[in-house]
Amino acid sequence: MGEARELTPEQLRLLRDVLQEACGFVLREDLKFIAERRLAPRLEALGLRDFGSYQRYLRFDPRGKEELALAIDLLLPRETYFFREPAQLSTFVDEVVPRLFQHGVGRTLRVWSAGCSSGEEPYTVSMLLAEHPLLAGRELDVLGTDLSQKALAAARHAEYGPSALRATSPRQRERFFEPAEQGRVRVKRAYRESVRFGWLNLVDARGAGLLPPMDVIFCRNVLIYFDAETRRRVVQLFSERLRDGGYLLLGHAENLFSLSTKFELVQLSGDLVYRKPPLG
Amino acid sequence: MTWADSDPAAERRYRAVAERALEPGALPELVEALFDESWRVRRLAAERLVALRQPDALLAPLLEVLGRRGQPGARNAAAAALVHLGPVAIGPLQRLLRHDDPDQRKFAADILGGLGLEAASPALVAALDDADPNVQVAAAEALGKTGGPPARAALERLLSRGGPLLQVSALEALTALGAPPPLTVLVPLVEHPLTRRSAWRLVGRVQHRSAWVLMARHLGHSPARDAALLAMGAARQALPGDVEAELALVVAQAPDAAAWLGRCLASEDEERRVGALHLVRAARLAALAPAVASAADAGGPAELALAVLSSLGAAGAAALAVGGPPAWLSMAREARAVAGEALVEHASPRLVPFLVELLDAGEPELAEVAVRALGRAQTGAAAEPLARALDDEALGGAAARGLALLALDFPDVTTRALERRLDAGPPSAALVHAWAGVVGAGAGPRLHRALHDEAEAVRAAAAEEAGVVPAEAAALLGMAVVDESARVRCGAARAVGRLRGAEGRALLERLLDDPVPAVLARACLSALERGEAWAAPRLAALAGHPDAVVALAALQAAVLLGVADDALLTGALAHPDGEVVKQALAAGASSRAVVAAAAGALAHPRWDVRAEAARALAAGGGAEHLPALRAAAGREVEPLAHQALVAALKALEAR
Repeated sequence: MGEARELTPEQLRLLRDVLQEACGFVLREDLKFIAERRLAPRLEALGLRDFGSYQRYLRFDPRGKEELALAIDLLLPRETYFFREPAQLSTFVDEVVPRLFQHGVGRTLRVWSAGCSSGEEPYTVSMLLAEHPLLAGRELDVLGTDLSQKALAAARHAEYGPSALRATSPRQRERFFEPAEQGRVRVKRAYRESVRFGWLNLVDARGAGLLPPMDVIFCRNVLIYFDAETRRRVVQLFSERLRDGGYLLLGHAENLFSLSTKFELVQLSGDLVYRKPPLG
Repeated sequence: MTWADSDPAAERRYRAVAERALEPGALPELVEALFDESWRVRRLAAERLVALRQPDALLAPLLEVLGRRGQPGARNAAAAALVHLGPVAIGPLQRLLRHDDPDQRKFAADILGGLGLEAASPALVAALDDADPNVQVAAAEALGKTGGPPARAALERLLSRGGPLLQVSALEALTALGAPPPLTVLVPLVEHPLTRRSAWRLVGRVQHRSAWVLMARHLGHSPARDAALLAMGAARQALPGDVEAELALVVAQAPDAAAWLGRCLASEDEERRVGALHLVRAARLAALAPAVASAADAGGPAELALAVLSSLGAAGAAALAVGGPPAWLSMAREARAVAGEALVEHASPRLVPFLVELLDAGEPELAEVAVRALGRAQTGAAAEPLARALDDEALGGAAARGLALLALDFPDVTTRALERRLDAGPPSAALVHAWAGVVGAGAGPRLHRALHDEAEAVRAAAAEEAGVVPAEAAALLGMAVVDESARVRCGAARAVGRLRGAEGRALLERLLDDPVPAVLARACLSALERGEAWAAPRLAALAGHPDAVVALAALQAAVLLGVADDALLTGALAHPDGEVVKQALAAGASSRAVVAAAAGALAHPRWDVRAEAARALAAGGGAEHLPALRAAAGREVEPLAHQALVAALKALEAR
């Protein structure tokens, strides 16, 4: 059984092709062990003998598309928690938002959390901006999108366990969350109201084309899992969906070097961020 | 610090560079922008210069900028651009290594290293004798990026003759190359405080018992043990058993070992964490199981952490259940996954209360772990929570399998738990599967009822399980094959494959004429499972079915039943779906007709089909196929297909 649950180089490559075509995710060779471990229960559940059969199941079985969504869920790194990368968040609140208002924002400040997984990031944005003085009399619209329907269902439910709260202080916990069952917490209604969710594959430019122009896009630790071509396409899409002068916030391990010249790097006191150049 | 664009003039210059069209005439302007006072403009200018894709034209102006003393910003920007110019830059930079100005020589060494091309190594080796120590160090570091036998030999020589700074550079470069020098050369360097850390990292890469002994000896002494631990971090796989035994003795002697290793497992340094994992495993420190899981956080050594947790056994699993809630529940996803796997592997009756808490914690990933672990907990107390999990669509399958496992030792308690669920209301598909799996031949009445359920998933489950009641299977399946839902007929087709006796034939004949491809495909496989050679003509026809799922199943069945002739196989080779072609090639290397057609498949648009064609030719081809294989290998760009082509060439050339 053990050997059959090992991905041969060819099976890994074929699986990578299927995933890459579906969502741009590149199953790198160093993720082989993780892939084997996370998919082994699926092979068992489906009664398949090896990963070659699994790859064929994904392509040919009537329930292959359903299974592919599940495989993507299992394999896509979804590490996220509230108030992640606090320095960048401070920069966002204290420098990016004021700067946006200096250049003029419409009645609604629109923030897109692209690849939001189970919703921690968009809710964090909502919590951080809920009482921002510059937003008095205006509306905040935070959109979280993800490829995983399962993750989005969890995001809408807005209930979280200890792993999601590992960077949340007791004060923040008290202020932004209410107790739920089994020691879990739920995001308070006030911070859920400005957040909505949508099912969106970043590789699908047509779907993203329906979104309104954004003031800020958060896309942290998502691009690193795409190949260069997909990254280019996604960054192009961000450039199209951002207002002139809008900001793109990436994860700390990410940059746009050799991907796009449509953004400029701006050094703020707390962080480096990308901005779509303002008109004029 | 202020906003970069608070200087409008700098902002205008940045825009000008960003918007400058990338054509040959842009070169002088972009080179000029390398001298800009704003680092953003300089950086962008360097990027844009590289994007011009004119390495020959860029060399002279960039080298000229590099020579401007008093212009550090411009020089750095020029160096950043030169690194991207490729082999064309090697010659001029080699000449620059002989420049009078040591700064220029150092820049040349740095850039040659950045190019990462082995062809630059000889010049860098010569630069190790430069009069300026900074140039020597830069050359040593660069050799760690360019590599090759001369680089390695020169770096090893430095270990014996250089001063500590140069020795550290050489050690780091050899580490980067993954090329440890002889242990005898390293031993004096691990004793020296300045070279100790770098030398240990290389000791860890010496795959010999003497290196392990050296590490074990130093792990016992606190001044050197951190560095020795780093050396252990170089070993990603399990250590030899005798080495582990010796390490266990060393750890046992250190009173603060558990606390120290706990800190090391939480270290940011991955090599330190890996070293600590080896020691925890050697010393079987089960209490550190949560810390072991934490060492597998994102990007960490998950495979090793899992192996270590596995070696800690039931005591390690019990340690994971300690705390309210246990610490690992707050950890990163990978750490939680690793801890979960350990719980599944070493589930025991004492863990059941904790696993039930995990099941109810509201987190899908943890619930899935809990269900899998409960199924292996070897106690009847796991039956009730598992039966409850059958109602959850995501957990039902795993719960049903767990209950079947549990029923082997606790049949009564498992059956009662399932009965209570069945009596409580409409069953889920998983509950039907579980009931059939646990009760077997006695499941008939419930299966009859489930076969008339409103939910197609439940009817499909009942159909699939019909075989557990041999006396009633034909009657049950007779209903299922005329169900309006293809999912139910698929379940029936699966069950027919396992049905013994003549009555299965009539059912199969009907299923092999089903209008839905998924049912047809499943029926083909059932024909194979039943060994129905009479189905050969139908299978031959279905092998040409336009839907690949049917063609694949029919082909597989025909091949394994021994009824696939040349016409069927070559017909499959013409199928529009590459997967079918691949299967025909994989099955037909003993057929002359298939081997003859395989040469044509070397030009197939899919790389995996080309690889399979190469393998078919290797197994069944001859010298006449060598030209086609050579041509295919010459144009192949996909590494795995190329590998298969080269292997085929070797096989045929040797024949």
